[in-house]
Amino acid sequence: MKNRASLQVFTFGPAILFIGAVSLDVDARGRGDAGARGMAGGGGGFSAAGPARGGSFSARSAPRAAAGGGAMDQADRSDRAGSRQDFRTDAAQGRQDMRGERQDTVSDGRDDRQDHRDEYRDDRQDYREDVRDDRQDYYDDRWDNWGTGAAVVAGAAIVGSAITAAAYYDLDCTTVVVDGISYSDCGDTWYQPAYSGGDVTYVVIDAPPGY
Amino acid sequence: MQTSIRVIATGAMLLTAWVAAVAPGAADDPPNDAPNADAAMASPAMEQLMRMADFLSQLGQFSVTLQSGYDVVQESGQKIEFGERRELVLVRPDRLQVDVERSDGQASRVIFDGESIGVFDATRNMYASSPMQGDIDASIRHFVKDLNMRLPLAMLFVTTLPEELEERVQQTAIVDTSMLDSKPFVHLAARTDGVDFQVWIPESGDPLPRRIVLTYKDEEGQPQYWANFSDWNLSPGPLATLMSFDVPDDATRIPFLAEIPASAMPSAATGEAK
Repeated sequence: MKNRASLQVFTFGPAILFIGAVSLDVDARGRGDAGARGMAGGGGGFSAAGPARGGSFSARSAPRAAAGGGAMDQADRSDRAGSRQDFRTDAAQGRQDMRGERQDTVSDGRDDRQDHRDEYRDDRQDYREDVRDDRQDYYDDRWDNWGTGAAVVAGAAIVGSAITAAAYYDLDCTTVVVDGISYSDCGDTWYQPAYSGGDVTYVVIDAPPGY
Repeated sequence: MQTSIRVIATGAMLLTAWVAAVAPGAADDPPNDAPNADAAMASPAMEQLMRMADFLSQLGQFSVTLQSGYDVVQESGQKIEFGERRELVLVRPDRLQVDVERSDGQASRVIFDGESIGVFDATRNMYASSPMQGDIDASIRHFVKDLNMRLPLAMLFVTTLPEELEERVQQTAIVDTSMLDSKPFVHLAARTDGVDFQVWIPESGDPLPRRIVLTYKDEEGQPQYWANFSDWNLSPGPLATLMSFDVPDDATRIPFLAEIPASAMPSAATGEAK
């Protein structure tokens, strides 16, 4: 793509803002040391989780913590939306400049509409965040906004209070079944396998009744 | 000449959209802004997109194979692709089965049989099941939104697909006519808030998507999710009887993470890497 160089220029700066805003989340995942592992075969050291994994038609609004499943902290979501807003504004301007090169393939009236739309899209984004809860019953345009679920790194890493299946298998655990549900006694911690996203993860759990 | 007609149509559409936007029921958008109802609604590109959406959403049953992949931008900046193959069978109103084989070999199955929705991990011999009464639309929404489970392209399989697209799509264009499998396909590009997508639809015959690419334009590295559709079958046969959630007797039942109450988890989880 011939515009790749200019695209990288326009996204690099806001990408730093973006990365900074989610640095906490990255730290939680960072212990996988994906880069240090290098290209070990069979997915070793590479994360298979990311925003594109969901195949969703809507963008995620905030990363979801594995623990507690689906419960999003309101403050985190607003902060993240704010940082993403800056990113989108700058990126939109980057794309705006590039679009001039494609003038001959776009109809005449569309450029004016695009400028107009970029301006009130930003306003609408803030407005939409505010009224989303009210709109929930009327129309939820993010219902298929699947977050990364239990973001797992191929390797021993912990997200929230859950660990990957690979990390779990390195532990020495005894399985107990209580009321038809399986629990794992791994010494000082109890884990429970649970389905989240597309994978089984092992979440830290209180000891089952009777233990 | 075509351009001036389009400009006039644009003006007419904007005026109509403005009137529609200030009517009650559209109160969520600021007045005299109608970002969703601009000339894109009447454009040939949008017509093609809606032709596909209308057709898909009104199918009583179908089966299809998806070969898909997605990018993950690593912390190092390296972009790695992962993939999977899915075989999907859908029989309205309330039967859905998806067999998934990931590129790393892990196999699983998602089944909705009208009474419960379940996932079976064949590789680990574990399954999770949750009661679910309702139709496919409700079960898909519950699966993705409430159970926090992954079902790529979920929006394509609900009967409200046309309405979803009308609400989300801000801009569409016909890029070109692409030859795939030596047949002509209309290559559409659409933009929504946060996600751009492209879809290839047959120029003639049933408007069933051949390929779709989603671009997460606001994410670092603009990762993509893509899927190639094959073996569309609009008469998959009497599969309703086959869609029962059978798991091996020795399979372990586990909960959905989203269903574990927070009270069951330790209040001070240190979460250290072992």
